[in-house]
Amino acid sequence: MSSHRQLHVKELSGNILKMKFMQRNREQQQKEEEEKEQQRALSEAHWVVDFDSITPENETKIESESSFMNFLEGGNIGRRSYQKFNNTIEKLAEEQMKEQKIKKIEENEQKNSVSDKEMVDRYKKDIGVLPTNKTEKRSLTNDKDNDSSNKKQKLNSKKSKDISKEFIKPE
Amino acid sequence: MSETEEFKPYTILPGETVSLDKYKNEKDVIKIGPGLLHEKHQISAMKAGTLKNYNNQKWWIDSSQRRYVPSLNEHVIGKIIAKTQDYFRVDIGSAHSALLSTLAFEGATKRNKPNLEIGALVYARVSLANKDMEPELECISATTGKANGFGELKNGFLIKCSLGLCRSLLNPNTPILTALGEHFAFETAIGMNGRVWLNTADISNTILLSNAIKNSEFLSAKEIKQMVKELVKQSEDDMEL
Repeated sequence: MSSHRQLHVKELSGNILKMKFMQRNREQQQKEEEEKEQQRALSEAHWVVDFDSITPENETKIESESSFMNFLEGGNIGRRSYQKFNNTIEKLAEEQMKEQKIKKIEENEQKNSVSDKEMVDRYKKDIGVLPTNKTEKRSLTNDKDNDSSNKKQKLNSKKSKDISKEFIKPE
Repeated sequence: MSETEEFKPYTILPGETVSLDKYKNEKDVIKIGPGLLHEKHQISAMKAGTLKNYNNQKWWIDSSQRRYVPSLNEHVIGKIIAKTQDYFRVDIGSAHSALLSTLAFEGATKRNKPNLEIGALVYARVSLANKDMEPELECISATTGKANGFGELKNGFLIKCSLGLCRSLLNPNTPILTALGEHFAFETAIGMNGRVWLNTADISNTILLSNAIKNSEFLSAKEIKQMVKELVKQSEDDMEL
């Protein structure tokens, strides 16, 4: 590009070059080039965390709750009546009891069924070990190099790697 | 780790660390409840009590404290201490008094507001709980928008007890209330803030029930049955006199 412009510049006379529109054009081109340079410098300075090479120390998720509401064994019915002292409350308590029983059964069923994450784990185990490329960088230039050198490895584990990427992202 | 060990509840003191690795279930999210603190890949206790779990999934410390800290969706019994045009100020036994909107009742509109006197009792649900803000209450169910037992508690008698006892009373099969229910006709509302409201047809029964509930905290199921039997017999004897 620059050599191309130099040829043009040689051909043009000084008078033409002094004209305003020519100067404006040149300034614009310079500005664009500067911007490009700046962006390249910025993108090189950015670094990407390689999630694949990091193995979390504590794999199980832990949620904390401040209320006892979900930790009451055997149900939670606040208003009750005995021997038909207040019929409406008695009926309401029965309904709530049924609801809570159904909820509990559903919870247990969910626990017994196979979750998506477990499927992925099983799949990983059966297909093979995931590649852990610690030196892999995610810039445009380096990707090309990696492609040629790691082609064989990638082909082997492409499927499992894709899946792992999907699930490691924070939900 | 497919095999998990059987867990036995044990007494724990503040500062002790809890190792859940043995009971870890890889596919699950572990929920830790009140009294446990998760920090730097480590779970430690903040309260003295019994460490309990459910399905190796939920872990919490069961303790019997008296100080109530409001938390979302808990059911509480409050006493109205002031009222304005839009709000009732309600004492729920926590550090700050709670606000109860006059529109947070079933069927309440701007024209048709409930008229509660100062000193009236309400059974309500905590709809906003934040340690830096005043708690807010609602007298309607979160899902259906109906009263579902919330609202003013008319007549009756209020007793205070520990939070641990209140939690055990919330269980529909709690021995003390089922044993009393066999002999008396009564109505209760149990708040998680350490308050129990009782209503019976007879004042002497109210006194008997409130004493029985207060005494039941540290008794076994068998002892409770025995106590209730004795109380019933005593009250029958008194009637004859």
